[in-house]
Amino acid sequence: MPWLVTEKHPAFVEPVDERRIPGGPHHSCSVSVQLRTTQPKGAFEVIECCVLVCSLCASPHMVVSATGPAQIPADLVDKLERLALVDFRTKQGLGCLEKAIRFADQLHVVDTSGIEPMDSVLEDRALYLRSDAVTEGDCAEELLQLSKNTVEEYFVAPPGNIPLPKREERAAILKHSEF
Amino acid sequence: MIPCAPQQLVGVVGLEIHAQINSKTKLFSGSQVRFSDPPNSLVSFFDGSLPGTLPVLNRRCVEAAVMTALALNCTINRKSLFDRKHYFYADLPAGYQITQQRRPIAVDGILTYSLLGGKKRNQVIRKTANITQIQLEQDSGKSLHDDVRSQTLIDLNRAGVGLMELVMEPDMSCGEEAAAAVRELQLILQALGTCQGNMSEGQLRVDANVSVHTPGEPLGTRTEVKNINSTRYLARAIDYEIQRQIKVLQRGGKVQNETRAYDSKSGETIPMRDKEGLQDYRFMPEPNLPPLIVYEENASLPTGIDACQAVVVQQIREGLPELPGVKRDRLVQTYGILPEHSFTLVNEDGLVEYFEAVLKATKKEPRKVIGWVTNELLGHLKQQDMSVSQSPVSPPALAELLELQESGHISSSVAKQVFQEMWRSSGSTASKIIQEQDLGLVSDTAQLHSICQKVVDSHPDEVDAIRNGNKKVLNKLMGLVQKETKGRADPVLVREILQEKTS
Repeated sequence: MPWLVTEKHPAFVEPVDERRIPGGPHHSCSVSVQLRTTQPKGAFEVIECCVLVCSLCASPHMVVSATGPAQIPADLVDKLERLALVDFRTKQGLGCLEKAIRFADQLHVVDTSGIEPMDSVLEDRALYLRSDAVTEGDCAEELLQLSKNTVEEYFVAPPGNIPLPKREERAAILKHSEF
Repeated sequence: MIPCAPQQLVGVVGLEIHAQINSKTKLFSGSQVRFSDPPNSLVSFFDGSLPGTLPVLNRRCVEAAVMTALALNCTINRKSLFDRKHYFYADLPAGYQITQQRRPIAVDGILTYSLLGGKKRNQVIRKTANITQIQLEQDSGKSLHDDVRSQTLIDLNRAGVGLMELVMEPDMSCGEEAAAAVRELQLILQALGTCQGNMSEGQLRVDANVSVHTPGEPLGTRTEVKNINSTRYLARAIDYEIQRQIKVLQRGGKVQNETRAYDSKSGETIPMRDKEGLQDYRFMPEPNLPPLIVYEENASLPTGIDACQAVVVQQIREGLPELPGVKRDRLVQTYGILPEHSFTLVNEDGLVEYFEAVLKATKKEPRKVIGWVTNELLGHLKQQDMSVSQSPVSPPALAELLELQESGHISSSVAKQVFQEMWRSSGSTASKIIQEQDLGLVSDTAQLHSICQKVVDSHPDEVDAIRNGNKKVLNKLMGLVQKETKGRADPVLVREILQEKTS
């Protein structure tokens, strides 16, 4: 076989799907490889990425497997819609989601073994500690002016979180909208 | 569904405790921490989550967390991180709470507490509960629900106040243990000064995770019980919930994983409003805060660092005050009192100080004084639901009473009577009452002789019995003499005289 597989994803077991890979920078090596996803059918698919290193020219070729359209379960879409407060249940919306996920999966290609993740560009800065003295507050009037609804120096809010209508109800509401 | 045998199921209890940090200002802003102020008057722009504001960590809160962690034998994480926990609610203006989910400031601690157990409830039983972690986080504002106008009024004075969340392992099995553990934690936090620990004022909030299972088998589904504002209610709520779950399983049902509120009026737990299924908090690192570093000792400080920018664990460790456990042992050592007495003393606010004040003013042995403090004084206080500071009998007044008893002016039973009288008429001294009511011990031998003679003369049968060897009958005669003297006769003298007369 004229290629080596570098495992990037621990779930990746063996190639199953056939794909043609475009040639490397120095010569055209087109490789056929089968890739398999390890998620059960119907579940949201994690796209397996791997880097194939051509044994002839040792140049990496990125491969993204696509075994079919992503099947995102309706419950998950519903949950995402609640969290994002965005309706995207159309074919277009779901297609967009799928593309976004595949795009993000390219992160798997990078070898991060043994490297601490960076979660703040401030990680090398010293965290400033403030002394425990009163320096602010006492501006109720200013703050309350920002709110349309106030009652005796309290902000007014609805009685609780207004729940999103259930899926079926929302479909009915959206039926006549442009979406 | 096979219902479970009732004897086999036991309760499993884990506590989640939020302790409000006793600091002048909030965790990430310089607005004041105070209670009962006009609504929204202690709110900075950051607390109101106005755009363009950033969190600035309060050093005092870090010190409080380290102190508490050390007192609870935790491992301090040299480097800890801040995260955002997202959820929508009107009293959380930013839409997220800054907390420490990934790497909290301290982990792996132990809370040692004691119960008074045994048949007579006078055995001190030591127990431990493991602490998973301690983390710093923000408090939310307060919501006042106005059901009439279908609206909620929001006061952000509390929003951003520093909290220490203590997560405990499910090591307890019943309400009594949980209440004792929380009581001990209150005493520790109060001794440290890191939290005032008042449950009814929300300074210490306890949520209980309760489940039941058969020992040896996997843990059952748990419910979270909230809205508990005293240690007494905590014990009741937990015990009710354990029983409720057992009954559910006995009926062949399943325990739901839900949040329940304790209703103190009915003593029951009721399901809270559904939180729309399992919350997804979308934890993410707080991008505006670098990691929090605490240093072990002065030697490990980086060069050139400003002292006020460094929290040094060793310094804090050296500055720790005397913890309740140590105090109890010291009292036993110093005064020779029993552990259970020491336990009672430390458990009650101000009682140790009261006890020591009495000791200063009397020559009586501590072991003889302790009973008066833990029984007479405390008993009366509990009866009227009063605190030590409200006692109508002051330490010097009690000391005077004890001196009078010790020096033989009054008998023990009269002393108790006098105490009652002192309690009722606060301000009146022992000597005054004794004089007014003529309760002084009668030691006038002539008077005693005549009374004893009278009794002896009127009870010839008893006298014969004594002369024939039945010495116990003497007690009856003594009782009669005491009745004559209204308990004011010196018992030692009476016995001597009677023995003389009946020999």
